[in-house]
Amino acid sequence: MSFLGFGNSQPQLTSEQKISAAETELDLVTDMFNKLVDNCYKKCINTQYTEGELNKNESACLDRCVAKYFETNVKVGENMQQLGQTFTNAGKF
Amino acid sequence: MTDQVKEKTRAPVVKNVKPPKKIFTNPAFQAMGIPAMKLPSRNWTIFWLGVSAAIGGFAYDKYQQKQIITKYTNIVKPLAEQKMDTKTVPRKITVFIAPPPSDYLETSLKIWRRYVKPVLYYAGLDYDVIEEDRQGVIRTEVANRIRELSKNALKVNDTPEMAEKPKQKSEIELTRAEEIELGKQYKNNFDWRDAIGIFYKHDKPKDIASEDLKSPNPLETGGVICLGRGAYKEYLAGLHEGLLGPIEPPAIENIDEQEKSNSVYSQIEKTATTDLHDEKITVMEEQLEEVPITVDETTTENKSESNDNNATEEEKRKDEETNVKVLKPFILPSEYESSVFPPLELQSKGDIIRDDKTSIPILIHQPLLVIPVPNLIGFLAIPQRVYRFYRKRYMTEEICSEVTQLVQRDSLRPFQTPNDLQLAVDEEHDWPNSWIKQGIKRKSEWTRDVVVDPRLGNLIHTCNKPVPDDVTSPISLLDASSGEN
Repeated sequence: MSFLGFGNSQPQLTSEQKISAAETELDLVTDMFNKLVDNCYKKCINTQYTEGELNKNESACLDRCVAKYFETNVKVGENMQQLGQTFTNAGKF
Repeated sequence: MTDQVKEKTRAPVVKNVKPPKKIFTNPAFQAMGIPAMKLPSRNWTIFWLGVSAAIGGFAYDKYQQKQIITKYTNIVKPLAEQKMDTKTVPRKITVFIAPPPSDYLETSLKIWRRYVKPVLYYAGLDYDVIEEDRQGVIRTEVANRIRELSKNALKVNDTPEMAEKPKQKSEIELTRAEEIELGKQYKNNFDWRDAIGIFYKHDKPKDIASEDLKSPNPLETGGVICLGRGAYKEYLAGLHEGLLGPIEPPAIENIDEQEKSNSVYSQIEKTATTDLHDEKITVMEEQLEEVPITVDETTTENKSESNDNNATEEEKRKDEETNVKVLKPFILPSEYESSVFPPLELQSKGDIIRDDKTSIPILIHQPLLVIPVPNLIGFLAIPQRVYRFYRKRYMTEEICSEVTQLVQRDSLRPFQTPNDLQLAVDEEHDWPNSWIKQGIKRKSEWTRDVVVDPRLGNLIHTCNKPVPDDVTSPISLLDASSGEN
């Protein structure tokens, strides 16, 4: 399956279109990444800041948080694409 | 005169006069419109006492449970406060969760969420949960993991050097299909870390090692928790299947035999479906549904089946597409003895079989903990259920202390073959008789005796309390009595 429009086979795209598609995708991913970092930081990192390094609890929490965030994102993306295809091709983001 | 005297003497004799009720009031309250307060009647008093006792008992139990969980999370907390390098992965506990018979997975998940997960979380451990929604999932999963290992070992032996692909095509030659193919390849190998995040500028960590590798002793790695007697049985069966069984599924042996057993099974299925209408029992039905194909020793899938068998098979195929695939066992308990251990493919790995990617010792070397899922169902069992409901704190104490022991690796002991087969066997007393009978009829793996090969038994360690000698499974008794009839 294509992830966020990547690798999606549209008939005969010009290279400019391809580049713009890649750019939008990079934007989307950057956005997602920033949100992920923000959320997982808020969720997992203790705000007391008594020590600089991560402890085990925090790193385990971060691992899970990132994995879950990614998985949810991929699933939502897939569903959105399906929805988009059921309407028109213009429904794609 | 005489009349007056009569009336005077009569007056005190009048019966059924209630003494005036005691009323507590105050002119100030009255002025404010607050009605007079009075003691509730006897019946109301009884009612309120009953209600408050019921709620109070529950609240007390809950409070105690919280205290117990806090106690054990505090015990394990120091473990989580240790610092950990960013290049290490925390110790991982594998949790197998099976639903109790005739009930939903949620029952077992509650125990996991309330009593097991907090302890693991506060200990800073990673956990991998494998849930079972039908019989055989856990067994297949465990066996598949080991088989995967054997397959990889075989591959490495067979083809030490992969043939390189000296494909050099100019870009112009690419057809549409090839372009898509290339795109897919690119996508598979694509790593977001090359494009974004910290590792865009910094080097990617190369060797991410698990915390489990610190100690050479396999007992100090990982851990396995089986929630439910059924999960335990399937886990053991899966270990045996993976380590002692063949890598590929066995070929169909004898068609005549199959047809016989198939006809027997279609009969059983018919009787079963006509007998059972209750919704709860249909859940059990679903659990048992794949048994003729996945578990039975003599039956295998066959094209010359009767119509309804074909229909059920299609359903199963649909199920398999959507759910986890359940494979029928590759080896029978009776064949355990005759197979080679350790398997030929894995012999080069020495005494301790390790995963080829993470090089963590495989599940069998890791300490095992079995937690029963007590789940009584039925109308007649209500007094017993109420009794249990108000004494959940004892169960909490037991489960939390055992999980803490697993986390701290205290009091690990080697698996003792006849006694430890009955781990969590108390749970079987709760299993509904009708379910057990159906299970025996259909040769479900949950109602079979647990068989452990001594060669594998020697490898297993557990942190459950030792099982006394006289504990037996109620199923074996039932089985014997039904066999006589």
